[in-house]
Amino acid sequence: MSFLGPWLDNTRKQHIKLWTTVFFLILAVLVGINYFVRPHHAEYHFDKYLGFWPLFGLVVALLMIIVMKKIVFPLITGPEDTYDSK
Amino acid sequence: MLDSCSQILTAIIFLPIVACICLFFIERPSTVRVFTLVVSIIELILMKPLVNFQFNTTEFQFVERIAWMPQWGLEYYLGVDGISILMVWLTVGILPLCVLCSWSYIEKRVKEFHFCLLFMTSACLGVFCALDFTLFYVFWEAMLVPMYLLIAVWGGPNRRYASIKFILYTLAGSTVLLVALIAFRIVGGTFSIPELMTKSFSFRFQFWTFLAMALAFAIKVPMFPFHTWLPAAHVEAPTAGSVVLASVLLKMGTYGFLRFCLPLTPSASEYFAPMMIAISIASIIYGGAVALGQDDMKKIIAYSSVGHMGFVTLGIFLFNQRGVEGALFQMLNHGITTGGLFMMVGTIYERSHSRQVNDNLGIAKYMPAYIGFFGLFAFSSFGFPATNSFVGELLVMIGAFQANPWIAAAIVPGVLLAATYMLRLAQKLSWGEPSSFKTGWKDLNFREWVYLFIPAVFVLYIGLAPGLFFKTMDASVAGLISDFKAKTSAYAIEIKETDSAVTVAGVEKDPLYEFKH
Amino acid sequence: MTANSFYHPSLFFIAAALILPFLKGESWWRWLTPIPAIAAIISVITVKSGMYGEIHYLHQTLLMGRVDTLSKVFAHVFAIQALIGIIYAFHVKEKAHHVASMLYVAGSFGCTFAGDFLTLFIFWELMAVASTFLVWLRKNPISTRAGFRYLLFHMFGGLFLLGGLLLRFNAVGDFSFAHVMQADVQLYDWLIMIGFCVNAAAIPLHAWLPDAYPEATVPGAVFMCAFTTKTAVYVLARGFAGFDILAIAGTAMAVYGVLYACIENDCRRILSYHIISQVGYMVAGIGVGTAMTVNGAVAHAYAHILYKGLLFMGAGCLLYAAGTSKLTELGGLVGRLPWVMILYMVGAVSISGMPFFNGFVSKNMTILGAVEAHRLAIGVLLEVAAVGTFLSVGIKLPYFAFFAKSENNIELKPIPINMYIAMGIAAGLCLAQGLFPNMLYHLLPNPVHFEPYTGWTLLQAFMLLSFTGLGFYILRKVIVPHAGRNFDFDVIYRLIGRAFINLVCKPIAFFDGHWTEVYRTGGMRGLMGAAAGARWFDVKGIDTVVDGSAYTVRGIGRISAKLQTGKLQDYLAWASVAALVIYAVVWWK
Repeated sequence: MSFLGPWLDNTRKQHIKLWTTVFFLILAVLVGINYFVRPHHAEYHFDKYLGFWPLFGLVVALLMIIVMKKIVFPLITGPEDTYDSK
Repeated sequence: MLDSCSQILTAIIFLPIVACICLFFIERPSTVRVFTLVVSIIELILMKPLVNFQFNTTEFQFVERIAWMPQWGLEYYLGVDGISILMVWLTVGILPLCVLCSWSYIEKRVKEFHFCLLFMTSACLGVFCALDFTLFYVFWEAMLVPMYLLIAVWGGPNRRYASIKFILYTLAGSTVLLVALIAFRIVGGTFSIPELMTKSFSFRFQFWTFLAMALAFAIKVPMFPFHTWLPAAHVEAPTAGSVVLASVLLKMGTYGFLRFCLPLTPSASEYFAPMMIAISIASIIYGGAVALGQDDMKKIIAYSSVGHMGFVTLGIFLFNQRGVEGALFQMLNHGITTGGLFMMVGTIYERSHSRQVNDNLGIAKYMPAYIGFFGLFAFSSFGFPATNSFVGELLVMIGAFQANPWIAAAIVPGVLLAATYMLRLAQKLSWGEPSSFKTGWKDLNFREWVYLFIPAVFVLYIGLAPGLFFKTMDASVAGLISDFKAKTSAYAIEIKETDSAVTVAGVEKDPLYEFKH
Repeated sequence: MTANSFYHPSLFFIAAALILPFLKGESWWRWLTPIPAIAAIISVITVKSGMYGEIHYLHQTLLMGRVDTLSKVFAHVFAIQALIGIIYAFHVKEKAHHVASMLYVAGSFGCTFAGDFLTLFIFWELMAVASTFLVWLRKNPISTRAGFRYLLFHMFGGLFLLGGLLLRFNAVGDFSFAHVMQADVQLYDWLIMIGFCVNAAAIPLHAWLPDAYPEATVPGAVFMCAFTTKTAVYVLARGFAGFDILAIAGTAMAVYGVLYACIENDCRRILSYHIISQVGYMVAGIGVGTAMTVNGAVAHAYAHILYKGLLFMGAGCLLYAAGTSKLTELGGLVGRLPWVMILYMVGAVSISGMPFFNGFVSKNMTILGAVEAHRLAIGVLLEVAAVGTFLSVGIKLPYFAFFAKSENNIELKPIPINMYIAMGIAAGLCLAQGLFPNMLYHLLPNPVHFEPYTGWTLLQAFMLLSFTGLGFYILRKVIVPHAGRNFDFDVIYRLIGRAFINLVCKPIAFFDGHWTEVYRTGGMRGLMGAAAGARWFDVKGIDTVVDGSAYTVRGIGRISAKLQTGKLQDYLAWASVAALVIYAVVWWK
């Protein structure tokens, strides 16, 4: 199994563009399927619309990262060894 | 009175005295130690008839009664009941442990040291067994002498100060106790404690005698604010002195409350109960808070004793079955656990010659057995489940909840404090940064194993299977409380009757009576 | 009813813990460590529901073996995780570690099967102490202090439990542990709930978890992540299902945990915050209280133990190999630790709720159950938390640990094979339960009317997860971890602790030191004065006694000087004379 490590390393460095393309392709396919497949009874009212969940996931993720990292993190962070010396 | 044909109590009280006399003829220190150890084991064997203690009666057992000075009504009157028998066992059990832990600790005047230990045991046993007030007082005072010597001769650098302080404090209290004693003789007509227990006294009388006795016992316990002699005495005393001081001497104070204040002055006890409970809570919290800031191991444990004894006095003044049983349990448990802790401090002192926590850091790596025992005693000290103190503290807390939930709420921080300082000490000892001179220290040798293992066994035994101890104290405690309640309610009825008589008279004399009719 | 055919799993672990210290040898005894776990698994699988193990202690009847579907499902997963954890810890040659972990597991089983509060309390405290050792055994100054804080906080929580159960005992008369209806709740129930919530790491009582878990030993954290919090979930499910406040607290926990995880640097701290988040799902499910949500909570607990253990095992491998768990120092290790990455990812996708793994079949049950109970807000927030979960544990952590950097030459210790085996077992179970959800569903306490795999649910899950991935991709330069320690509620605890020491303990110690002075100067002089004064008055009654004792004391003082020469006999003679004098005076009256 020792080929696995070098193979993974290789692929992430060499073929990153390929993986990224595959990723976007999957995203597009999923949205496409969403056009056809909808919930029988929409639990949240909104998820019967096309693209609700993709949007939800994306927006929440973006918001979370921006708010936490850019706004909250500078407020509450301190040096690594704050609690170490007493 | 249940009679027993053997003079067993006299034997166990006076065997140490006889051994003391024999000590005069022994010269070599090693022989002295072995001799004392043998005597202490014989003492334990002598206790065998006491195993036949009857559980279901409140009467005194193994009674011996000889007229001593009939013209003044003095008797040589001994007996034990459920309350005192456990203390007797504790005292006799502590003696061999004290001898063992002083084996290499005491180097000078070994003979006199063991003399003091034996004399002390004798006096303590006498205190717990005496049923004549004066006899009690004689033994109470007699116990001061060897304790003073233990501190003054074999103690630390500040021993003179500590020993004098100890004597003065305790004597101040005993003086007042003597007054009360005389008062009881005059008003009650007898020195005999069981007979005094059957009499009832006026409230005024009870008021003052309670105060007198309570002062003496409060100094001994010690209760806040009369506690300041304890840290000094503990720090300066040699290990065996600390052990016997913590395990046995402190219990005499609480024993005094149980034997004298509650049965003889019940109404005054009830009257002063709020004050005593408040002082107990203060002791618990205060002891814990001060212990947290200490750097001397013995001082930490000394202040922890103040806290623990606060639990005991609290339990006593709750006047319910759970509370008093918990208090008695704690008396026994504290003796075992704190005795064990002081022995541990002595053990490490013999290696590092320092009681400062910072000189004894990080020894878990070199002395794992020591840390194992220390951990056990530390956990018992703050009442961790499965240890003996858990049972006692749980009972006191149940009793407190039954009496008044606010009392219980007030002592909960005390339990947390106890955990805090004990864990801090345990953690520093185990895993602090070790100093350089540790590598030569050996772990516990066989003798040390013996004297630490025995209390450890009891810590777990009492914690997991306390049934036997319950049975021992149940009847006597129940009897104590029912007597107490009977007397205080009789007194309350008396008050009510006089009150209602006054009220009736008052109505007839109502000045506005004619205007209303 | 009290049959003896139930072998309480705690017994196996306690027995093993007691025997282990006495086995001499370097490492052969390690082969014995899985035995109690295997015995526990057999015991739990074969036992029938019922009440076992009544014992009498302190005038009360205690019930040690309450076996029903709720306790069995938890015991089931505890036993499996115990085995996995023991295999993972196989390389540890320090006996103390194994003893501590066994006692910890024993405590957890004891709590699970406890039928009354006193038994629960005893095992609760055992868990707290044993787990503290798993932190302390890392043996560096940071861990020592963290362990101390951890234990103190758990003792504090335990006292709430103790206070509540004693108050309840006073009111009700026994220690029985049963479900409380929200309408009948009393003060003591709240106290007990607070005690439970400390262990469940509910906000604001949660800060101990991210404080202590990253400082535990490598295998220790694997044990700790499973047992303490899930035992708390169990007791909450048993006693407080349907309490609204739990629903709210759980949702808050779910979101709070992931928010902090987004900005943390230490990978085990990220996972610790995730525990809070996932336990939030469970607490919320219990709080909503319908059959479906309670089922969901229990299923989630089961799955969580498996995948969280796997995640901590993965992070533990990183820590073990590289010596650090900080994402800023890791990175680019996929080439050198490929299997760790793969096995970690199994756990990561499980926790995120990717279909075909066990998280998917359990998480949705809770969320949909909440929605069906008309708690829309809770459902939405839990979905938000799901996004955050995938974001931080599913993408951020592995990305910055295994990818991100192109080269990382940090020295890697070889990882022992037992760690891989343990991770493999856990990963296998995660996958198996995902593919065959009935493995999990048949254990649940309530009947299951939930179909996890439909076209829509699969699509929804994939869409949610992949677009979260897109969000990460877009902001991958922003979410880069930075070294730093984030402040949480533990700041408040420390402030309180420090304030207490400064405001209470120090002044009291100061006061106490000076109080002695008061006695010495005031009391001593007073006494001496009285003695001197009394000398000038007629001797009568009390004065004589004071005088006599003052003389005696002064005599003792002088004699103590003589004692340096060792004339003990002299002293005794003096003492007897003094005693006789006192008694003579007394009896004169």
